[in-house]
Amino acid sequence: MKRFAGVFLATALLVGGSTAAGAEDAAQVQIPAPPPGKGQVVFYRTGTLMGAAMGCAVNENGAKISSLGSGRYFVLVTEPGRHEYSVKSEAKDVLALEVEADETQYAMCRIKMGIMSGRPDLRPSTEAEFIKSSTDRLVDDDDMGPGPGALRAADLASALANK
Amino acid sequence: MRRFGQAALAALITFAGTPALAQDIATEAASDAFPPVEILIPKLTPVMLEILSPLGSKTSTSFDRFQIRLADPIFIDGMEVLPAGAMGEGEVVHAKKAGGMGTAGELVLAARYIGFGERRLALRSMSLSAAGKDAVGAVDGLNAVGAGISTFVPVPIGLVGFVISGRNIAIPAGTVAMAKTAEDFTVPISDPLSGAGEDADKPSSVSMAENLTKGED
Repeated sequence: MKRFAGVFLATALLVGGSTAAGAEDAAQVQIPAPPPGKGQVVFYRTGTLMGAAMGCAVNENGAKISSLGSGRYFVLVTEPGRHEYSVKSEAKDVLALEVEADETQYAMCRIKMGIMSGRPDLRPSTEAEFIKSSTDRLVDDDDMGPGPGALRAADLASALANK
Repeated sequence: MRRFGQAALAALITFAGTPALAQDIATEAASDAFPPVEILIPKLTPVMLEILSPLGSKTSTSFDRFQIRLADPIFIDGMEVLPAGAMGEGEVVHAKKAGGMGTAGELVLAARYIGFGERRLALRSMSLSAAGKDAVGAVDGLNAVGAGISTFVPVPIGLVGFVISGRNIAIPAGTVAMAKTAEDFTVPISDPLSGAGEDADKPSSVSMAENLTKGED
């Protein structure tokens, strides 16, 4: 019984430890403030199994800004004003946002079921939802562009260093 | 006291039979008493707005304009510079109805301006964008079960998801939202003394406005 209790305690500590580490990782995702006079949008995608193999490519004015893999995010720095972002597979979804100077907004991509393949759905989100989603992996540099504005890993590190 | 003296002097001269001179002095006295004062409403001052029309992801469409009203007066340095009730306009930036496969409705709104006579006080950063509760998770779960059942039943159970809709968003008339002023804006105050008097009657509103200002970065 004593041995069982010991194993139980060790397991509990392990689970507790990994949860704490997970929370710490999530807390490590820092989003820098946009450059003065610019606004920014954090696009993210939760790491669900549905459509995990599918990319969610975010476009503006027909140019791809970045792909969003499962559990990834990227930061788009852009001019203030109304912007329309789209995602497309067998159906197209458009999200318009009012980007404000010196502010950060959030948008989330989810893959929902389609007839032949999954359909990406882009929707407005919040900082709280982004933090709760524990999305902590930046999109790889190779998956960004050719549309401008998405911060590469080095850009993000530089912006955070100047924070 | 100075004001009284100038007015008395003007009256004396009028009686003395030089009305033109009296008028000049009276005008000067009046301008001395109430010198034109302009109060600056700084950029990014928080404002509370009331939405006057019902809006919703199902009923609104992008680019729709809607009426807004200043819900609380704007106070600067303890003085009411813009009264509650000033009318303005907002815009639906994005509206999308809830759809099949559990997709939630979406609504993004922006406050555009509050009218001040012939002028417009530009607004920004309206904090009222939302997505309704989706049912994508429920549809995914159903499809996972359906994938198993459809092995034995020749019915595309996965298509059931197309008739499961997420929730729409409804913003009823009277909803209060916060926004910020988008630019520095000067307001002429004709009688600063009366403004200060009104402020003394409304300490709670003043402290709220001050706290909101301090809360901004």
